[in-house]
Parts: sequence; C-alpha cells; structure tokens
Amino acid sequence: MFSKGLGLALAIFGVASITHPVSFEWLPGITFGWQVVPEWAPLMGVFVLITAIALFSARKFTRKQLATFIIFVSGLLGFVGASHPLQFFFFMEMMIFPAFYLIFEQDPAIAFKYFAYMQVAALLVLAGIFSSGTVSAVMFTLAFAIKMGLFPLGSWLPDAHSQAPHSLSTLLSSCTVVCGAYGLYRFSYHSFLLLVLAFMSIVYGAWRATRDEDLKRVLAFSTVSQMGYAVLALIYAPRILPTFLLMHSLAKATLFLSAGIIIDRTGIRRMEGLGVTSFSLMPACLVATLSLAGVPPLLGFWTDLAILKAVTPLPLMLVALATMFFTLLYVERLMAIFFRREGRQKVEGWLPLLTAVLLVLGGILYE
Amino acid sequence: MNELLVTALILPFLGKYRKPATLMAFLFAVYLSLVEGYYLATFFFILSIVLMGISRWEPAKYPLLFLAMFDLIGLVNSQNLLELFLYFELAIYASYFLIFGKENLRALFRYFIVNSIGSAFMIFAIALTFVTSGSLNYLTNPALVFFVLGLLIKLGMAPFQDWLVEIYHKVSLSLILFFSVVLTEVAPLALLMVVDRPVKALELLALFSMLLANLLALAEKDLIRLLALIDASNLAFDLLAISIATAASRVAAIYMMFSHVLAMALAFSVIVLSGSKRISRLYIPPALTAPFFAAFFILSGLPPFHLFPAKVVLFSAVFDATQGTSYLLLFNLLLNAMVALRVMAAAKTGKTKKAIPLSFTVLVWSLVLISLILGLFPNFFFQLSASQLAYLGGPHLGFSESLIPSIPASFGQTLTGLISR
Repeated sequence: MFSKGLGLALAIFGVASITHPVSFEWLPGITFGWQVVPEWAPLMGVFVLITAIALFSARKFTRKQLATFIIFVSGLLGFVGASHPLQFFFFMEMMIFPAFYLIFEQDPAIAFKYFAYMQVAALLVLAGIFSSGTVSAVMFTLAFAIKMGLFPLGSWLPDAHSQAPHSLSTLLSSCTVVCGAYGLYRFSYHSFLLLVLAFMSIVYGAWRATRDEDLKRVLAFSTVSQMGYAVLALIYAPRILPTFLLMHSLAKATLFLSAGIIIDRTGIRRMEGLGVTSFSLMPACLVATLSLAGVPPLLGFWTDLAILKAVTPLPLMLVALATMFFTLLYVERLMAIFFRREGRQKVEGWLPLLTAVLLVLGGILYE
Repeated sequence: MNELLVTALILPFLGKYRKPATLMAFLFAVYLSLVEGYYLATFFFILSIVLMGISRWEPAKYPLLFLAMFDLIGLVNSQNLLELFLYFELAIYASYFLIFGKENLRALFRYFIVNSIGSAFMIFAIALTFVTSGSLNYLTNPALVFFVLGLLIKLGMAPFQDWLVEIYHKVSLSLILFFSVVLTEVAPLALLMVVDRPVKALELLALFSMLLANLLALAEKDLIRLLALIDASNLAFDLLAISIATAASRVAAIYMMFSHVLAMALAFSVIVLSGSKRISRLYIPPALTAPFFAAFFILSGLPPFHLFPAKVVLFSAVFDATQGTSYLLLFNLLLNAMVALRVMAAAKTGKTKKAIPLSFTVLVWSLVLISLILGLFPNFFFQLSASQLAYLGGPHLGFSESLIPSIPASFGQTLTGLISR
C-alpha cells in the first residue's frame, strides 16, 4: 500500500510539474530542470493516468517488484520533463535497471537482450551529446530508433514487451517507446536515415502482427508499425506528433491491460483457440484497435488523416495508406478472440475502459 | 582527539564489557566529530558502528576496531610526514590483530611481509626528504614517488593486489568490509595530503594501474579476486585525480573515495552472502537478486546510482586539466563498466542453503537506497567532499586551498545548447 501511495504521489508530482517547473543544482555547474513542454502536457497527463492504472493493476507484485517498478516510473516521468541534455541519459538509464530486473524474473535471456539494446541506445545518446553536427544527429537517430523499436534496430521490443509482467509491458508499449519519439523531437535527427527505418518498420511491424500467434507479441509488433507512423508525423507534421502519440499511448495501454487480464484469467497466450466473452473488455479493445486502424470518429482517424495529408512524397503516402489495411487485418485477428465460440471463458476487467473512453472523447472533441 | 585517545587506551581493559563500551565509544566519537564539523570522521565512525552490528567477533577485537579508526582519523589530522606514517602503521598493526586467527596465519604473514616492504619505501622517502630539505612537511619530487609507491604496495593497487585477495579469501565478511571499505579506501586521503602538485609520473602510474586492473578483471574467474581488482581500479581512479592536483580533481578524488566505499561495501556483501566463489558458478539467492544487480549496476557507474555523478565529477575535472588523459580515462571507465556487466551477465538465480541474516539484508538494502538517493541528489555529497578538502588542506602539510570548485566551465559548456526544441 505504501509503495502504491508513493507511486501515486509521484504521479501527482508529474501533473503538478506541468504548471510548476522545478529545478535544482544536481552538481555545481549542472542544473537539472523539470518542465514539460506545453504542447506535450496532455501526453504527460496520459502518462500519469496510465502509470496510476498500471500501479493498481500490479496486484501480484511483491514489495521488491513494486519498489523497482516505481523507480522505472520515476525515470519515465523524469524523461518527459527533462531539460538538461545529461538528464535524458540519466533518466533513460533510470528506466533500464528496474525493467531489466522485472523482466529477468520472467526470462533472464530476454532481460539481457533488453539490457544490451537499451544500454547501447543510452550510450549513443551520450555520444550524441558529446559530438556535433551530422555525427550527433546520426547518434541520436540510432539511439532513439532503438528505443522506439524501429526495424531492424528494435528486435528487443517484441521479446521484452511480451515477456515483461503485464503492468510493465503496458508502460513499455504505451509510454517508453513514445519516449524515443519524444527524444527525437527534442534533439536533432537525420531525416533520411529515420525515414528509411520508419518505412521498414511500418511494413515489417504490420506484416508480423498479422502472422504471430502470441497475443502480446502481436500487440508488440503493432507498436513497431505504429512507431513508423510516429516518425512520419515527426518529419512531415511535427505539430500532430504529440496527439498521435497520445492516441497510441491510450490505445496500447487499453490493449496491453486487456491482454494482461485475459492471459491472467485464462492462462492462455496463444491466439489460436483463445475464446473470451466479456462485457467490459470487448468494447474497450474494439475502440482501441479501431482507433489504431484509423476508423472514424475515433481519435486515431484524425491523427492518421493529418499524417497522410502531410506526407508529401506520393509513393510514401501510398505505402502508408496500404499498410493501414494490414492494420485492419490484425485488428480482425485480435477481435476474433471475442467472437470465437469454442472454449469460451468469461473474463471481466474495468480498468481498460477508462483509457478507451478517452479515445472516444478525444475523437469527438478533436479540433 | 585527546578524549578519543584516552578512550582507545581504556577500552581493552574493560573485560566482558568491551563490546558495549566500544559501541558507546563510537557513539561518543560520532558526537564529537559532528560537533567539530569533521564529517569525514563521522562517516568512518558510523561505518564502524555498522560493522559492529553485523560482525560476530570475539569481544577483544572491538577495541582494536576503535583503535584502527582512531588511527585513521589521526592520519588525516597529521601535522607532518612522520606523524602521518606512524598513524598509518598503527592502523595496520591494529588490523593484524583484527584478522589474527589460526586458519589465516599464512595470509597474515604475507600481509606482514608486503606491508613491511611498503613501509620501507615510505621510511626511505621520509628520510630522503629530511636529508635533502631538512623538513618533514614537504616531500621532494623523487621522495614523493617512493612514498606513493610504498603506500600503493600497502594498499593493494594493481599489480600489488594479491596479498589482499588472499586475506579476502580467509576472513569473514565483516573483516572484508573493514579492509575493502575502511583501510584501503583511506589511501587516497593520505595521498591527497602528500601530493600537492601535478606529478606526471603518478598520472602515468595511475593510467597503467587502472588499465591493468580492468584488463585482468575482464579475464578473472575468481569472484573475490575480481572484486579486489575492481577495488584496485577504483584506487587508480583516485590516484589519477590526485596526481592532476587541481582544485576540482582533488574534490573529485574525495568524492570518488566516499562513493567507492559505498559501492564496494555493497558488492562485497552480495557476493560473499551469495556464497559463490567462481564466476561460472555464480548463483544468486532470490532474496539477493535485486541488491546483486543494483550492486553491479552501481559499479558499472551508470545512473541513477551514486557512482555516476562521482564519475561525472572525476571525468570533468580530468577533462578540464588534460583532454588527452580524459579520453584514456573514459576508455577505462567503459572497461570498468564492462567488468561489472560481465558479472551481471554470468548470474544465475539459485537457492542458497544458508539463510541470510536480517542484519545483512538490512545492510544491503540500506546501501542500495543510499546509493539511489545520492545518485539523484549528489550536490550535498559533493559539497561535503569539498569541505573535507578544505579541512585537509590549510593548516596541514603546507596546503592552502579552501576554494569549493564547481564543475569546470569547459565541460559545462560542452553540455549546453544541444536541445533543438
């Protein structure tokens, strides 16, 4: 209870920082500031909400796990409010250790894979900070591409997201990958390199999401694909990026929370043969998946439309549009578990509805 | 000081009350050092109380711990070289009796021989200084090298770390902590008191020693030996900062010293408690998994733990003084991180047969927590180190700097103007 209270206090501190910037002398000559960029404030609010939901869904966590989880959350919220270059490196590292420990308990091999990729990304950020010009831009591009899980640099993502405890994978997929896009937004990047990676990720992620059998891996590959779209937004329509990422965070939080509840109750991870009946999870997942696919009037429709309108090279726009149909294919696969007749089990969970409602409201109120 | 000296002399004669009396003496020492603003001593006295809490020694040994601590405080208060040497020797003699036992006589004998060789170097350096300059306050250049060499031999710097490893293999965890934490980490203080100018020979010696220690550690299979090598490489980091001898690097040296004390205490604790001897058979009990990974994450010098700001302070000080050396240092810091990560990668979870005492569980978790807090808010620690430098300098051994430096400007400028939006 104490740990959850501490986590909530952190979350409240996160909200307070949107309007009340904090700064202190970390070391003489190095001042660490904490202030959320105004246009990213709604996303910070969503992070705080997802953090609170993840904390409350972490029922099976031991005290040690909760303590490390709170360090992870501090790193996550710290990253979004960072103002000194060294802080970005600091908070990236702050997320690595707890996530590594929590994944290690499930699968040591995947934990080390995650650790190695994240460490390389953090060191590339450090190298980017100490270099300049194109070299610096390339370093930042590679570092945050790893963090976002862009293909082929992000092979850690499907493994780590699927093996992490459910609360952690909710945060990993909805918030930490978003930190990669945020890092690129704050630092310089190499447009061409990033565009190539984004293009490959959109196609590869969507294709693997239609093929994979593990429920959480399908969601993880969908994240890879969506991060490709985030890069398109970053390069061609930076103003829409925070809203797109907000939509992604809400949708992925809904889906990972639902997947966690389903896997916990049924004990089945493979999608083949998994049948679920649910009054709460079905509408939540439907809203989240349709929003990812860009179906009106959900928030995803407006963000995808804005991105497609902004992407000026016609071939690239056509590829992005075509890949959205792939998205519909895996949406159909995900939703099929709610309509399968054989071996159905009743599963309920109300937390995902919270984030799903925000997706609907976002779509209706979008300007 | 006089009150503590009287206490140290009375303690051995208190029979069965020696342990509680020593505890009271340490509390008294903590009070005195706080009143006098001598926080370095406070730090060592509190560490001693922790050591007393976790140890299971026979009562006769506790006054020896007090004597060793008293000597270390005397050492940093020394008014001249001879006094410094005598306090150092007394502390070493107290440690001989602390580790005395039938099963480790061979290791003790080796310890004695190596220390005598180190002492011979130091005495020769003091004599050389006295003969050439007629003073016992200032070491001439050739004498300085002999003096430092003597100190390093005594303190197990690479490649002279083998005697220390043998001791570590023979004694209990509380004694290992006494050696790795208190005795060897106080060396930078003694060095700080005698090296008052940039000495290129020492800089090269430090670079060579840290490279050797890191490379040996990368190939080492014995866990205790590996930790001793990490300890040796940390000593070399301190020596590098001391040999550069700018205000910032001297503060960095003290900061690193404090930081290593905490990091090594945690690393030794988790490894000894796990009961593993070889890196290929490193089984971590479930209760220790998180502290184990935290310990080696800390040793790798990565945020958010306390060794990261320490290494930032060290690197920035070296970067400001000599950029070429700073890149070599950076390479060694990376090697250092690789050594720690290698141990993490070799870990397997397993169940240990013996139960872990509550006192040790509290100890390791407290160290992890302190490390995290000091990593997030290191400024207080930095200011403390700087004020200790002012204390060490000034009246003793001819130093006069008391300025609290900031992170050097050239390093600070490197970090600004990077965020594009």
